[in-house]
Amino acid sequence: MSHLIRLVTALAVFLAAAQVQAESRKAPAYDARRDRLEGISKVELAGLAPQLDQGPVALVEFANMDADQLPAINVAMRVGVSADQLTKLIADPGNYPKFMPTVDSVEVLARSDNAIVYEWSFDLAVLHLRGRNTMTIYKTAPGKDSASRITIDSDEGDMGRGRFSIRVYPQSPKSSLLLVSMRLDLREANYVAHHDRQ
Amino acid sequence: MSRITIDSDEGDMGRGRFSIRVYPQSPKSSLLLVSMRLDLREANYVARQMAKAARSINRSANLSLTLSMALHLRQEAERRAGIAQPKGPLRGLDKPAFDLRALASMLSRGDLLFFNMTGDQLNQVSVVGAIDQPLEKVQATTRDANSFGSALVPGSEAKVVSQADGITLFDWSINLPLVGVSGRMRMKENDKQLAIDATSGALKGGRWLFELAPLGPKVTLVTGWARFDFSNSTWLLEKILNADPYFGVGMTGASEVMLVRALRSRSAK
Repeated sequence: MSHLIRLVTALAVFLAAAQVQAESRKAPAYDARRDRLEGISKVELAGLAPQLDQGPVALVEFANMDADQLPAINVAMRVGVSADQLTKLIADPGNYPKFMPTVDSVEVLARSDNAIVYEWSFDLAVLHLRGRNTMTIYKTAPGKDSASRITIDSDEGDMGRGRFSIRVYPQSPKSSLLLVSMRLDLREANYVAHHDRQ
Repeated sequence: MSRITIDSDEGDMGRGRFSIRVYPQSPKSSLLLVSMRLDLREANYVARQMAKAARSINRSANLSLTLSMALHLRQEAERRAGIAQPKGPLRGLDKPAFDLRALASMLSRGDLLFFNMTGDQLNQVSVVGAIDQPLEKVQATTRDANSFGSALVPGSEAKVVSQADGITLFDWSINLPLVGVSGRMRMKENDKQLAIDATSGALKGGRWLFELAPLGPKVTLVTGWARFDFSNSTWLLEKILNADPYFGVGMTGASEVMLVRALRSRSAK
């Protein structure tokens, strides 16, 4: 019976969320993929060095409420491998299910020199989520301090639309600085309504 | 066959009907048939709560997703390189040290979170934010336990139980149907610092500390540092955190940001 209650409660929460999301879908003011992700500048990252030595740092931005904008999230952390090694790991979404518990499967739909289109899915309890992303890998500018840059656009699916911008700054032959900035419009993640229609 | 119906006429679970039929099968067995149709779209309480919190839920989910992704990338990259995650005892709570000049440009764009971690273990999370209100006004908000207490646990309501010798006890609860949680906290102000301890209920053992400092006559800097565990709260959160403990790191940070944002909006009233 407790499972039934949990299931009903979960459904209630997600239906309510769907209702809220449906309301917000009536007049989408903007596309979260197009808003600029400013990130954290190299000067600002240098100012955060003492905090980065102790763990991740996040800048949770303010949003322009009048424009119905969503705040960007920026997370920076030190990683004990070279920038090249880390970039290669990030640029291989097919391997994500092996080490990201929130990604159960990834199917690569298309691949070119600098872009990968893939579908992902994730099951948790009563949640069955899926979506389609496009990963773009940019050429690193010449120079030993240049960051490599990868963007992931969430084009459609149960996590809504939005963008991840990932930069990897070389720090030493055996360390790098990872900066992930993102803005994902989960109000567009009309999970229940989507599945209701099926 | 016996038949029982339960009508849900109104309330947090919406309107609808359960129909329960029991068919005799043999002297020692029966067949139970439960049919139901419940209009959860009418579950207005949840909808209202979700609508009210849509923006902060979005922000919390974004932060948790970003941190989870980044931490898993770091963990896997270091595992492949043969680097063992350091382990150590949980450190005590310390006020974060920082150079305000180095953070100024970022504080004009948002609130900053510092995660103090030893390997996978989160020792504490600190938040730094600027509020465009004079110190006295922000202080008055933090001293109102009913208001500040409810801001401490997102979505909760707080009620002061007692106030004596500079110590305020208050009960808090999240009144969501079936996933609601509650507890008691003790709030104490020492010189410039405000300390809050979760003494019972969900989040028991959690500790939050805050300090306010003027940044000129019209701006106040809020510094908070805390440690608490969401895994002892609602079953849904527990499920998510079991699936991916790194989500908890983001949720903890998101909760600190919610607190500063609540202080900001309540001080402006």
